[in-house]
Order: sequence, then structure tokens, then C-alpha cells
Amino acid sequence: MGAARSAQIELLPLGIGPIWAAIHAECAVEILGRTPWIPVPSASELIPGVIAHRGRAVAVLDLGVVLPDLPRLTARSTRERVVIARTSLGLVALPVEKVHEVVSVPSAEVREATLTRGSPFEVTIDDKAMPLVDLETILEQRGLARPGAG
Amino acid sequence: MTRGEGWMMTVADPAFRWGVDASRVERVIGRAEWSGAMPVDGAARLGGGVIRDEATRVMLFATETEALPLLARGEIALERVDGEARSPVPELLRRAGCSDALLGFVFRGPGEVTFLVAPELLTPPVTSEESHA
Repeated sequence: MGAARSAQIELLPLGIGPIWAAIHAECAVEILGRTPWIPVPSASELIPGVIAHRGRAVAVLDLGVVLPDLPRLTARSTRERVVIARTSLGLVALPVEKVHEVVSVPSAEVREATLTRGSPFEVTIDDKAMPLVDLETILEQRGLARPGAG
Repeated sequence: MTRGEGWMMTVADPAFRWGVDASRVERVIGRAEWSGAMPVDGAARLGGGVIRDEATRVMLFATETEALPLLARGEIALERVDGEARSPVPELLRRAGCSDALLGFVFRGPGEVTFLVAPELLTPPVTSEESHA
């Protein structure tokens, strides 16, 4: 029983347009409604701006830069939901359109990506193949993570 | 600008609203009246692009060595800001390449912000009015 539980992982599916991606549910801190994001001059494509969250600036991460099938954020575009997620470098805001309830799947169902693009791994939830996005890996791949973090 | 309550001089630039520590602003004069060094286009240096607009003023900002002339394009206002209203730049944004001259944010309402700027940390421009001299 205990071994079976440890083989489950909890994922949070996020939708942008017809495309879905999943993040590890344990990273998600809060899900906000429609919240405008603010482009920051001199910021990068991946981290193009901030949102105001509890009076503090939270860096926005554009999943469209990582996952080529997703549309990019555009200046002043506002999506229906913002997922606030925890990383080793603090909170990040992920503007999305839909957030599914947390899904528990056997870790064995996570496989190397063949049907989706942008992440080395994917998973199928409700018959939809979707990339499994690891935020810490994204930061590491872009040289943003602290040495030894993650 | 130190923590706690303070005053900020803001400029409603067409590109974005920015502000500096008001206690370090020596004076503001019309662009036509300024005859010193070419003013620094702070908004352009911060990444806001170049906007040609003759209706500008020059803000003299005190640094350790000299008064830095800043191009102020747009309405100028003096605003009181308490420490709680100021948010620092998130570490992730900084690591991703955001300018060191950006000190933080003052949120004014949904989607509205003033960028707090350290003019002495602005890097040289790619192109701006400064290079049109």
C-alpha cells in the first residue's frame, strides 16, 4: 500500500488555448483569477515581466517560450488564470487560461516525450498527451538557477 | 531611496511610468533651457525604446560626483510612497537579465506600475536622443 502511494505523483494540468501542459502540483502555491501582468523593459523573453501579488512583484514566466506549441504572452494580454508556483528562486507567476483539478497518476505513466514538444517528458491525462513541465529544470537549463539548487 | 516613507519624482513617459528618489532631484528645467551635457534618456536606456518628442524637460539628478541630466518626457509629479508600497525586483527577474538600474516597483492599481530607477546605473544607450546630437 505504502509503496503504491509513493509511486503516485500529483500533477496540475494547465491549459492555454487547445494545448495542455502539466506541472508538479506540489509547486503550485495559489491560483489567481484574471490578473494583468506588466512587461518590464530590459526583461528577457522567458521572464518578461511581473504581476502584483499581495503587494509584491512576482516574476512572470512565459510557458510559451519553453513549449513551442503554446502561444507567447503578448504585452498587456491578460489570461483567465495565473498559477503562482514556488521555485528555488522564489515565486513565479504562470498566466494560463484553464487550470484542471490536481490529478494523481502513477509515476510509471510519465514517459519520454514523443507526442508533445518542449519538455523531455510527457504524460497523458484524460486522454490528452501533455508535456510535463519541471520549473526547476527550466531555470537550470536557462542558467538561472542557483548552483546546487533543485 | 531608503526603506520607509519617502518621496518619488515620477515621469509619465509614453513608454512607461518611471520614478526616482525625489530627494536627489536638484531641479527640473525645460529642454530648451538646458545647455549642458546631452541629457540621459532614461526610458530608452532602460529598454523603453526611443520616442522623439520635443516636449521634454531635463531633470538634474544628484550623483556622488555630479548632477546627471535626465531627459523627462511626459508629465512630472511628486508622489509620496511608503515602504510597504515599494516592491523589490524579484531575484528571478534580476537573474534573467533585467537592468540593474531598475530598483523596484510601485504598484498603482491593476496593471499599473511605476518603475523605480537608479539613474546612475543606467548603461549607455543603443540609440536615443543622446545619439542624435
